[in-house]
Amino acid sequence: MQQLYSCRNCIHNPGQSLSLGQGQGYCLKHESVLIDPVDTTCKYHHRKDLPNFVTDEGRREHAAEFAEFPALVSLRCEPRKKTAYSEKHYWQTRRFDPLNNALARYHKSGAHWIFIQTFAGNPDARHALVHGSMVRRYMDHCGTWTSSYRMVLALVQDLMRPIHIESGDLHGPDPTGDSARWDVFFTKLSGLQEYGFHAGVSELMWASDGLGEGLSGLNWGLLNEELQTAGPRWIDQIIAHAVENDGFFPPGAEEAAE
Amino acid sequence: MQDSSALEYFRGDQADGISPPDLSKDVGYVDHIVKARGKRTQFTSVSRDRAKIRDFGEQLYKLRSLEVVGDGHQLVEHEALMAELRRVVQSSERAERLKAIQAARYAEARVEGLVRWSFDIGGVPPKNLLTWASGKVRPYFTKA
Repeated sequence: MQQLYSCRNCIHNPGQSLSLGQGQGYCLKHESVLIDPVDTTCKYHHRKDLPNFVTDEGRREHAAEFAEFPALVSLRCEPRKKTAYSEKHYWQTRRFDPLNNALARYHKSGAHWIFIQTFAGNPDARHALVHGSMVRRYMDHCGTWTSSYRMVLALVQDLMRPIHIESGDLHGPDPTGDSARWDVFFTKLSGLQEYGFHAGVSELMWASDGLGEGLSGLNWGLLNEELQTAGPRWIDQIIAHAVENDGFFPPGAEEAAE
Repeated sequence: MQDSSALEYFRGDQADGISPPDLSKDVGYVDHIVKARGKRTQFTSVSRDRAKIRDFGEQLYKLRSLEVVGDGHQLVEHEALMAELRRVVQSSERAERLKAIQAARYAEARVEGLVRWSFDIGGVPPKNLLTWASGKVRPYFTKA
């Protein structure tokens, strides 16, 4: 399934997944519009659907396959041109997408973590997907838990809340929105697990094992019940770990947010 | 004698033929489906639904299932594949469980089955293996 290594399943294209977000995407890594995201990739691909440490061998093989291409490339190794974002163009063609518009301005924003936190708490599926993807990008870039625990706390809180899916946002053959809902869920759960990796907390790294039949059987109703128990426990574990390691709102941290 | 309609499987791929498997990469069903250990393995994915497995190209091919089975290769039918994936989900933990959950999700959506090739690759130089495999598997597919 080549699409698993396409830009649709990459956290650097936060506004789309395999089943969510129509049309063109936007890549934060290459600062380029993605004209054909399902047939575009690059050597920096970071999957949305599973934690990075679970697919390490596949990721390394993919990076090696596309190592000679400096930027975006088709899955059949045809180089893709970088395409600058133009708000004017999208209004002229009546294809304006507010999420891609916001993402194209990410690198111009002052504090990136504040930009990312503005997406927290939004029940819209694409906003939730952007939030999960961008928290993971930020965490991967920093490579530590200390700069990310506040964002991950918000991410876990959102995991316990319902997701709203606009039918016009669906991509692919599933008209029910189920696939899109799972795409968002796994993007966020993988974010929590990657946090567990950075923090060295096994229960968070394998948070998926803290969920039972709701996850095993892909039963959304049952999973929501399980999340109401597991979510608060994960939040407690994140805070306890941060407190124990003198990282929970150290002096000055709250003032910096004001 | 198996009913040939029960073995009807398809695959979308490139116009110039089926993409070759990597016969040197021996992985389980789960890792093949979620591509956790790379995009090519010893399996070839096929689907009961001709519309749901066109990831590799727009040319639709039909698997010559009876010849596949008759020549000693293994066709892992969709139902058997799903049963095995569910077994792994229930009996494993950590990475294996997580990957199996995603594999079951993807395989169900694509009504996926697998072909496990059993060619003798002894004597084939590793650098020629993909080209060699390409020539071996293509006769088992016809344009649909």
